[in-house]
Amino acid sequence: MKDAATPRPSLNRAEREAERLPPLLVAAERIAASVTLGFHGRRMAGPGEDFWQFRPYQAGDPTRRIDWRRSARADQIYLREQERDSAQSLWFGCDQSASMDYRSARTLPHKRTRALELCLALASMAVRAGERIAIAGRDSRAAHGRGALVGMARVLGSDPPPSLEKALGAPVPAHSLVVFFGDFLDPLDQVRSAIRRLADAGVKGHLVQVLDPAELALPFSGRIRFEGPEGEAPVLIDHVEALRDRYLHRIEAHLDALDTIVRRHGWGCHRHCTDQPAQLALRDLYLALGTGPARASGG
Amino acid sequence: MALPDLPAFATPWAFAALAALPLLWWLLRATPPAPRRVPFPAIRFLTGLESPRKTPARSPWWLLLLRLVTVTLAVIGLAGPFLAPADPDLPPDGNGKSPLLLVIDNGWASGVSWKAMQDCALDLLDEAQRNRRPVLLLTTAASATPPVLSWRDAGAVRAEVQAMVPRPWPTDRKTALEHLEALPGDATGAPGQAVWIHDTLASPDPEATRNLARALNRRAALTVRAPETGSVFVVEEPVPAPPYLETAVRRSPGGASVELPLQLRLLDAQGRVMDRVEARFGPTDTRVPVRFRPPQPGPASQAHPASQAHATAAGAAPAPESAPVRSRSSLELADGTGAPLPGAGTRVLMNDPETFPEVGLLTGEAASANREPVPLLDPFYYVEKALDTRAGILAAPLADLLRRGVTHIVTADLAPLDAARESALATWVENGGVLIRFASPRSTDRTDALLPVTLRDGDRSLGGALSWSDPARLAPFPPDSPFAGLAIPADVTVTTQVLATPQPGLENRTWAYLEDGTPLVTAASRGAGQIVLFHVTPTPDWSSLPLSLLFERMLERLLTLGSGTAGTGTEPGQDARPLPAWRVLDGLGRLVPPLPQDRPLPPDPAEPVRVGPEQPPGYYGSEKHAVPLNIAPGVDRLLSTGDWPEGTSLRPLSGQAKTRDLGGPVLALAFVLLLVDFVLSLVLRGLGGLRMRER
Repeated sequence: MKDAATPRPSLNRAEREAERLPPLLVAAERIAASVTLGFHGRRMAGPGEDFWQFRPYQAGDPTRRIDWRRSARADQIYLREQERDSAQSLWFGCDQSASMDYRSARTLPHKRTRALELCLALASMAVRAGERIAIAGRDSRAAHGRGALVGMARVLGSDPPPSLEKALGAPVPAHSLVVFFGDFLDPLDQVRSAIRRLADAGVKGHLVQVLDPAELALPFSGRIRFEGPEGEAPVLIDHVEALRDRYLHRIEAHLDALDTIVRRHGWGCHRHCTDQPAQLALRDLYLALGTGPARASGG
Repeated sequence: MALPDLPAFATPWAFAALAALPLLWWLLRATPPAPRRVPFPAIRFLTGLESPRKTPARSPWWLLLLRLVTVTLAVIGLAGPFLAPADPDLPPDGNGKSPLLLVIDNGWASGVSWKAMQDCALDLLDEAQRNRRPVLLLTTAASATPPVLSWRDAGAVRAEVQAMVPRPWPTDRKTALEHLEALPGDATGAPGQAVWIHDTLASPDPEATRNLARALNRRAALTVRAPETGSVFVVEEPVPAPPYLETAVRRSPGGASVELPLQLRLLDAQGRVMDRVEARFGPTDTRVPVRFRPPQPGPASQAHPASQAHATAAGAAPAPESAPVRSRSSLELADGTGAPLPGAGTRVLMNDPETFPEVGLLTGEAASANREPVPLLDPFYYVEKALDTRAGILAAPLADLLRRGVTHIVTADLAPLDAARESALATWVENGGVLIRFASPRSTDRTDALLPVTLRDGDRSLGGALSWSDPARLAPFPPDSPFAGLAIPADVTVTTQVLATPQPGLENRTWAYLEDGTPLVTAASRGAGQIVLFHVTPTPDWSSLPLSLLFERMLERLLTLGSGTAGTGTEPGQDARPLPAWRVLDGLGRLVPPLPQDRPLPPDPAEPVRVGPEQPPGYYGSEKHAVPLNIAPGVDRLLSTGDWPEGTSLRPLSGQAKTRDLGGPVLALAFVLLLVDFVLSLVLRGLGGLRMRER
């Protein structure tokens, strides 16, 4: 009687596990699925083991790569190309500080939610493409498979979440790819030094800057006392509308500075506003990831 | 009549607070509303940005205006504004500060409309208090102590009127006029206005009413404020008309010509409604008779000669409850909706055993079921004839009579009962029953213990063929007998009687003698009850007494020996103590404990007692033996007043437009504005901020 009354332990545990699957991951996978439609894998020529295609010889090609057997059957000389080795690892970092817990309207998502969604969606796509993923500053080596994705979702959703500062300072293996998500509104010294260090180590990467529309437009007016989320001194302004232009000027300058730093090291910088759909940002990111590293390795 | 609708102020000095408004203006301008609070992550880019327009932060002008209006309204509200319509009866001397002479009828007739009359008086006194007019209050109901008339502050008079309750006795306007005339001439100057709050009745003394009106009119312009005529009611004392109680509701003449449905309700001692009968006044009716079934402890007996149930009466008589229900019931007049009409005149107190005794005629067990009375030969024939307009009569075996709770039992012979029934009957007598027995030819063989005297064997014949004497006449009744004072007809003769054994104390027990000194009626008390023995038969066999009016009178006197009277345990005729007031009616028809000045009721009921300040209506005696005293017998007529002296203005009680207090609404408006200000402040401070923080 007693046993019948309590459910079997194994089933119980399974249910608990399923329950714990982060809803964020589900949302991220849905976004990822909508983006990958229309993109047919990332098959392209590159350094790899498997045969990919023959192509006619062009001047300057190394003669070592001529496939003599294929060339003998035709008038032209053919080169043999291998498929690009996709066993690349992606390292993620996501800012989850208090400044990310912000939205200027009820209809918008928090910046932090959107950043996590994008992060996990990208990870999901990477896992599906057979690549390995890891969290910078926390994992020592990248893992692949859906288990890695679920594990990563869980770590990102844990409390306290892994910090971006740690990710920026963490060692990442050479020839891997890093993607950092955040608002990057703080002074850029840390970002600048981190990118320089990583680029020197041969790591390519992208910054995804997630911003609230209010931060770009300052749509307030009247007498307002602004309060910072991270303990900054409050600012009392009598006529906000009067100094909107100066604010916009300042933030433009900041964004430009960030762009400059990133581009100088050949990295990509993507700006995403939370009032835009997540798919848009993800598509940009996907295209950049697909081409950027390939071109880099090709060149 | 200049600008009657301009509001006046009760406490105008409160406007001094308005002087503080400029200060408030300055303060409000100096303290701006708190800024909105907005969380903002990109705050770093705002630090150091200075506002190019360096205007001092100030409250917006409309908020300032709102607050000033709010404060102004609050000050106005506290100043107590009111709209007082001009009183058309005020003398045209302008300022209306002249003294007010206020006369209030507070006799029993004011009971029905007392609330309206009191409100009218209070309105007048409010007005007088505002204008600081001195007031002289004169009440017309008689009072035990002469009133002290003086010009007083309206506030003091107001408190007195507020506590005033109408008196349960008639007005005495003659005395009131004397008091008014005795007032020293010009103590405060001539009154500017005289108002008489009148009960619409000219009675009881139309002449005095006229004189008082003239006297008032001579002193000042007289205004009479009275309820609608025809609104004074009196319920008459019920008269037994077996099987009913008959009463009537009287109404003062001159009412509105509409039908007026009223209810007359029968209440028991605890105030529960036992019965209700409709009394419907037609347009011109001034008296409507009403019939009631008397309160009965149990379901009506089939043997009772009852006609069809009357109206709603007794159809669903409550389940048998024992004796207390019978006593101290009362009648109450209620309006069509069932709300009792207040007033001492609409309440009639009764004590049922006296008002409507029930007499049981003891019959044999077997013959009881279908007794077909044989006229003239039936032993109870003359008793029934003598009593049937004065009591309920029930002929039944003993058990039924006892269950019914009759007050008197009559036996037609002296045949002994069996032991069980005899003891039951003895217990009933001990508890206050009155047993009336008659001799019979069969009676002397053997007798039981329920006799007042010991009887000799055999009977005595007078004036027969074998005797020398003439039929005997009756001697005058002894003074302490209940029959005392009854006239004795010369033609009543006794031919045969049973004789009492001479014994000590026999004369104390004898209520009637024959001329030769032999007892004709003997009586003895047993416990709370009485046993009365007629030494003759209830039929004309032995005497001509049953044929005479005297017989009826004697039985009638015996009916007054009901359980209530006998309950005192004293011999009738010896009960000469006055009855103290036990519960009295107040002017609104409520039974209340008596006041110390209430005088006892004289014991002799032959002298009519006038209800007055010394003897208010109510119950006199004790709880067990309560004698009711009602207003109705003293009210011989209800006259409405008609002729007022020249120049009198006659107005209804509620005719004057009420003084409207504007302070409440103004304060309420100020409060609403305060709330609006609160909400606006919140909005200025940023309700959006609240919304952001709740996430």
